[in-house]
Amino acid sequence: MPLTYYTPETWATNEIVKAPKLNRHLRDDMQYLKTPPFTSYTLPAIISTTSTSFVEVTGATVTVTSSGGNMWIAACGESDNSATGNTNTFDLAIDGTRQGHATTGLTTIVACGIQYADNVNLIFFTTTPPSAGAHTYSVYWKVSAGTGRTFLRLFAIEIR
Amino acid sequence: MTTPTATWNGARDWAAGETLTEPSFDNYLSSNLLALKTPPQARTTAGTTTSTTSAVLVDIALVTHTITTTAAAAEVMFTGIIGVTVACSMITTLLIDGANVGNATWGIATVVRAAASTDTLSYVFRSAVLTAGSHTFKMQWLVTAGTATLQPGWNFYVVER
Repeated sequence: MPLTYYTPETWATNEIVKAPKLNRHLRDDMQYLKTPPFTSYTLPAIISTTSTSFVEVTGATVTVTSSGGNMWIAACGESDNSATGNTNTFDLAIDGTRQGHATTGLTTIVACGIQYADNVNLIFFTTTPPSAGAHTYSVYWKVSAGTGRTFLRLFAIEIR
Repeated sequence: MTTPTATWNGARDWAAGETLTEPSFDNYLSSNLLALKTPPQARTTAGTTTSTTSAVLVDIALVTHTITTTAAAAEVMFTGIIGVTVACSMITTLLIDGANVGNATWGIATVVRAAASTDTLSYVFRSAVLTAGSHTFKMQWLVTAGTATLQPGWNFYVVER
């Protein structure tokens, strides 16, 4: 059963503390903070693209049902390109809306050689929390030319 | 009197009519809150130089931490600068309790570099839920030619979360 986070109680003077409130505001909220909503995904294989406009990295999407808190989204791995000097550009998206710069996304990597693998690290904290409920978190990318390849791990976790 | 410590004692199921006692509050309120505020963690924030010429995965000296967790996931963060002497691939991976959690081919972070060049190497990794107990996190690496050097100042951080 999914955990639920309840808005902390404002306890009243002389209030008789009863089990249901303790279970809701201590037990459930503490357990929620201990085990916040989290999902991860690792691409099963290297993915490639020749798209020069942003497209979703095939399969690089996870869904997390959160309680309205801010999210930490991270994608780490490698990428390369078929020609020296071409760029691979990466971004993260929430419900299909990219979060980085319109052109340069969150990270741009210039290939320093043909299929010279380089680190990809995308780390993003929301500043406006997604509404409580299910949201999808995805990696997008594009290349300036040639064929880009990547291998990624993606995760999203609610932080408060 | 029970002294609260940063220990996760589980989320207590409070019973109707239960008498709220000081040990219960210390264990399930104070200690649990301390555990949430200060989870098990270990870090190296200014690592020293280490290098390898190994063409098969071997431990990266000093890049290892052991923490005792509850039944929870752990997050691992690494950032450092790698230098190579000749054109090569340099593959690193992460092991938890001796098991490689990176890709069989690409490891967890890989760079291909030209001769006498450097590159940043960093990643964030979140584990599956671990059993309660002691767990060791360490990195391994290999280089396909020449010598790879992890330059001083690298950071390696493991935290239960």
